[in-house]
Amino acid sequence: MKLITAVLLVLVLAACSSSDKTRQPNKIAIVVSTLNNPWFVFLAETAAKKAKELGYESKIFDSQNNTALESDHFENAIAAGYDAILFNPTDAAGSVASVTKAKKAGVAVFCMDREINSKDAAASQILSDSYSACIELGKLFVKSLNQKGNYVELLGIVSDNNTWNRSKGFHSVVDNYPGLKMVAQQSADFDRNKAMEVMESILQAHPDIDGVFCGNDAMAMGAYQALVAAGKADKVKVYGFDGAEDAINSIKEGKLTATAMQFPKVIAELAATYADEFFKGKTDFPKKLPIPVEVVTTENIDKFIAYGKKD
Amino acid sequence: MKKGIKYLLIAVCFVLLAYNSVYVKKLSDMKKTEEKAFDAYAYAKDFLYKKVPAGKDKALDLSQLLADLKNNPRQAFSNSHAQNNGDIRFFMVKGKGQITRIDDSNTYLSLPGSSAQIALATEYIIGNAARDGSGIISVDEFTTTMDMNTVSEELNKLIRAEVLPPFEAKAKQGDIVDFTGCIELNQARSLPDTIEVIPLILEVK
Repeated sequence: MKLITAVLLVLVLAACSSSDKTRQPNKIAIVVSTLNNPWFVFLAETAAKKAKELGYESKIFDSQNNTALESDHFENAIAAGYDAILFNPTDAAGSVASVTKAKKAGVAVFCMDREINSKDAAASQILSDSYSACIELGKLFVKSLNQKGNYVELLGIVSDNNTWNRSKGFHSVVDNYPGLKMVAQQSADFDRNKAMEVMESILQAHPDIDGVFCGNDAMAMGAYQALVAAGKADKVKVYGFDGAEDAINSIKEGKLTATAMQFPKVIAELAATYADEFFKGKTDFPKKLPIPVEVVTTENIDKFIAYGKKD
Repeated sequence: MKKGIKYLLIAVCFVLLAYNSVYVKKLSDMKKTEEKAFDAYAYAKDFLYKKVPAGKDKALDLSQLLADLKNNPRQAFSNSHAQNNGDIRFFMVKGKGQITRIDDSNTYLSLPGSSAQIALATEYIIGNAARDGSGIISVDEFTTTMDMNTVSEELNKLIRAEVLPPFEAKAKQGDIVDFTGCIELNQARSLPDTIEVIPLILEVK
């Protein structure tokens, strides 16, 4: 009798466990560097929307540009049974450990927009081709300043590869023109308020500038505000990068000179689609997938909306 | 006696843990390891002087390519390369042309069988044409995209420093030039009147 009861108990437990597995759909964690920038909010929300369309539960985690907090999010996501992570890293080098940990736990990580310094840790890295875009922005910058003048560069977060890909792409063109002199280069951490403060202080030391090249649109908007306050906005050409809503509107109004349109919708939807394919058994993804970026100016602004192209 | 063994075991555990927890390395060794990570200059040199000459035969005949771009652009662009799938595309091309004019930025050539003006860039060697035109270099080879982009910069520097000076010293109007190089075209725009070639191999006949 005892033996029969024990066998029945084991069968019931096995049935429960198996039905649990079939009932639970795959879950996707979306870990983003910051939700303090509308571009990343759009990226995260688009990824969540696509995950839902594909039939998956998802949750957005905000790392607040803090690698330690990001690491906690990974620990929690792994412990909570998430099966894939759509990931926008805070630090190209510092985020590798978290991705490696997820991989060891069988959780596939798909990087969005920002890169990690590893070829194998992430299942795939879907990245804007920032360098190529900044070559195009650099050519335009040279032309709009007639190959001469003083300019300022505002860099993003220095531990992020996008910061340097953008800066190096720009300089690979502009440094060929000796008439263009960079009078200041400072980081404003991709942050609008910080960019305004940095620009105000640069203007104290270098009041005579002709152009500002910024590593993202938030910093371009902050720099523009500082130029308005100094009464120099009409004279100085400001360049951004991203294709955020306020930058697109500012180009329409003739405030910013140009930006580079990244396509966060394409990146986020592709990352969610890759996760779906991973759940269905696919393992062979492109390790790094550069996504084209397009230059936006007053000449072609009618083709664009915030975060993308008009349909 | 038992207490003695207990303290001894604790001490052994402590020493083992402490020994395995701390690693001391020379800072100079760490820096050397970082520097060794990727040598873009060596990569670019190997590409320019070994891979390009070995793959030279795969370069498209420029006169033929220009004709194809007019007659069937879609088909012609299917032979182009780039690291992303955007409108800016690159080709590796070859040809033989006569120098018609030389200015500070370019050496201009006329090509037999083509009305297009060819500008061999001699001043501004910029962009990714030299890196991507052949389609040999893939982003998957590199740990970071920064490494790949540095290759572009080193290649352009090498062309400026080593490919162009002997050519510029010798070339004069009327000379015939044998060239292999790369061009950049935007497939969303019409073909420009002047085609700029970033040179990889140049020979004045």
